Amino acid sequence: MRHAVRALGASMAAAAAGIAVLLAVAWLCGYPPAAVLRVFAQSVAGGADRLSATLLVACPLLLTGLGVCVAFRCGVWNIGAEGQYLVGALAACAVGIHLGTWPAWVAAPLTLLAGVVAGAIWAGLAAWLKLARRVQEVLSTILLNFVAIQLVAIMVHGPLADPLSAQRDTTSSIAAAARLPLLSSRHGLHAGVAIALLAAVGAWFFLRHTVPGLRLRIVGANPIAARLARLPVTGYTAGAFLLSGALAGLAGAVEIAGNSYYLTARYGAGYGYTAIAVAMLARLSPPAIVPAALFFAMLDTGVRGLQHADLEGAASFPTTLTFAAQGGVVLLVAWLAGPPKRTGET
Amino acid sequence: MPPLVELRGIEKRFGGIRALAGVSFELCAGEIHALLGENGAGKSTLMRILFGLLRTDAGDIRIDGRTVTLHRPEDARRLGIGMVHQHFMLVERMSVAENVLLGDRGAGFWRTPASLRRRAAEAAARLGLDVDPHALVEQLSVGQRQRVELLKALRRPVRVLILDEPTAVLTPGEIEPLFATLRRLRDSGCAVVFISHKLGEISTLCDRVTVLRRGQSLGTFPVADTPIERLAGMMLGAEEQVENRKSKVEIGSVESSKRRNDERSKSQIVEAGKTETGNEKTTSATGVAQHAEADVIVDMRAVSSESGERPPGLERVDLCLRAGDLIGVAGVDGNGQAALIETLLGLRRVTAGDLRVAAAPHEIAHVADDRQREALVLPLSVAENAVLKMHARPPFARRGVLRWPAVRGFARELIGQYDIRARSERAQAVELSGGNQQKLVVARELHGRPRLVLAVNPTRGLDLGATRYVRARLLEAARRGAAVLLVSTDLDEILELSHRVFVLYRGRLRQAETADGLVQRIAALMAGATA
Repeated sequence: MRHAVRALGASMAAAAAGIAVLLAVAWLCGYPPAAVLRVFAQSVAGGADRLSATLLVACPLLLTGLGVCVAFRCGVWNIGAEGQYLVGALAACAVGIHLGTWPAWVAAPLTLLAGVVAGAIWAGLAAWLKLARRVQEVLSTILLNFVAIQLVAIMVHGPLADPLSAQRDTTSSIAAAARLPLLSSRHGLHAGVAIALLAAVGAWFFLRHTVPGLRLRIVGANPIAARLARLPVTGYTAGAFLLSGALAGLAGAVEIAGNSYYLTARYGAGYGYTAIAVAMLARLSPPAIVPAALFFAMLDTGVRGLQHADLEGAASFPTTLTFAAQGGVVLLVAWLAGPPKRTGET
Repeated sequence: MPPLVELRGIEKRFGGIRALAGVSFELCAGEIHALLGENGAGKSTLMRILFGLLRTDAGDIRIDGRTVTLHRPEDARRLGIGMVHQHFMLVERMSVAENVLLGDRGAGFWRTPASLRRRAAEAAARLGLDVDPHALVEQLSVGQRQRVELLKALRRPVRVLILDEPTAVLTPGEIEPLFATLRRLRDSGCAVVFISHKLGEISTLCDRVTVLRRGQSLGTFPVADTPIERLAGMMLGAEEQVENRKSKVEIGSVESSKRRNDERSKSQIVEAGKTETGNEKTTSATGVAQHAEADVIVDMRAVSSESGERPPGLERVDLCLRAGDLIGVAGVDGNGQAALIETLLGLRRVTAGDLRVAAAPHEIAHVADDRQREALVLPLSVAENAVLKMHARPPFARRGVLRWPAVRGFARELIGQYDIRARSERAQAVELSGGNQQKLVVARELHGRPRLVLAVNPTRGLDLGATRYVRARLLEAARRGAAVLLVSTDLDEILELSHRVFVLYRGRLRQAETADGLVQRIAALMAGATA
């Protein structure tokens, strides 16, 4: 928990610095900082619908961020959360469309399960490549992202295409029974947000309080010592891949079952990539991933708000500034959370 | 004639560790000068200082009698000093010629590859080094890569050439051509420093030898007049022991007769050990005999194991360990210590012979050679490290869930018992000093009642108090009925603690049998003497 608190402190500082960077860049580009800040805050949390919009973005970021965190903690550099997220969404959609005759208490969990399994399988491919063929996961996971993007496009244009859509670039909607219940029907806030929070608690409990969680951290921090302590290093490495992929796949399934209900040919919103920044900002501590995901969600909705706002006559606010701020935050975190100083012994 | 290079009173500290404590060293033109010492004795540190990679804390560097200051390798190169590092520093995807001239500021921006190749080929021909300048480094064998490193060091006129353990990575067939090159360099007036702990190579190649031990120089000797056993003894600290004995003999007869008794009992112990492996003729006069009836914990018969990542493997090793035994295994690093331990831990495949270990995995204590790499998980807390191997068992976990109060309580207990200086049990292991890290490892491994204790260099890098403490715990473990295997490169430690002494040399284990001149015999075995 102390680790989480320290991580939280660093991430708050980095987040504040990130906002400052955003404002400074806006100011340099000729936008009045006070107005920018006001519009930003309003778009993030100005009323219940704005707040729930932020939470809806935070939800997939939280789940994918947890996935990245679990993998990194085991020394598995899975940067393929985006691909695992996409196949999760694809599987959830494919299953959810056909569950019209099932009761909701079966259909919705089954839809989520489809996403979990698909994400795990997608990460499992990279695990197999690493453990059997010695292919670096940094390479295989990012390449599998591209495969996943094309797979979604093929399925959306082909087998899953909505027969009523003229362009054939969306799927049919999933059955009503397969959808997640809404916590607030007016704002579209769905039960997936609660699932994501539960997953954060679960990930924290797993890593901190269970035997397999401790072993996963031992394998990640020193595989040589782990081998000498007779821990099955290969098994834990594979397990970290699967768990990480399952969480990213769950994120995709929750997005389908709770938010969009159907797939489009270009479904990815880059959550799987932002997830890496989320996990780093939280310094790989699950409790700190909750505020980290919220922060990046704020950045997203805040800047989207800026694009549409009238900023005292100035031209509309470019999206590129968000990316600049996001990059700035990640660098600041890397700087604030540098590795601990080693003692003099070599 | 003044020496070409003079190092005087060189001091160097890394954190709390004194790597060099006032070392002096002289090097003359036209000699091959060996720098001999165990790992961590300070050989590489001293030569890195001469090459400008490290700064001294105190002491003088003189070249041609003039004091110089070396801030960076470029300064050393300008003075005609070249170095070939133990680990090659080559760009795999580039050709030999490109690698050789890579760091050459004289090579202009527009210089064509053709002229690069010509220059490299010229240098190779001049030095008699057979290597194709067109070849990509990634396609070369280790011996060829070393020639590229040599070319790099020698592409400009060099008066001093330093080689850091150059033969460590070579196959026997590659060593002779290297030696021929070095002899040619010497005959052309170059001074060559040959860092090594291989005595055989030093005696065939070198003219003089300087022995380092624990950051101090024990002197420089002409190789031709110095018996190899004496060098081995010095390197490993046996010399000190012999001299201690001599001085004690001179001080008083009581002391000396006590010593002689020690010697005699040691000889009997060794006899007893010998009979154990042969016909069952046990003597009752010695300590070992008490345990002769006791159960056998390790029984190795003609065991060979694969060479694995850290060769060599074991070759037809016979070893019998009984409860209460404390067996010392001496030997120069890299002669199969890793194989012996990993084989006993069941982590290395046995290719021939018969191995029986009568201890369950959790009954084996392993004080690993490299605490930071093998024994501890540095980013994790002291408490997590304290239960590294037993966190899944009660009282530390129940149904897969860790019970932190029990884990922390156990860690605090170890901290108290073993006087581990830590902020708290929540501190990261990386925050502890080296000595305290080692105490944590020893505490964890010797806690409870292990049946088999495998201790590899358990006191390396520890201060006197901690060393004494760790040795006492090993003796105590043996007294309480564990079979203890002490693998150490420190001969003092082996002689002080062991009931019987074996020597590892190139994967073979030999017993040091005779009591007369036990130290000399061990030193000779370590140097590779047969029979």
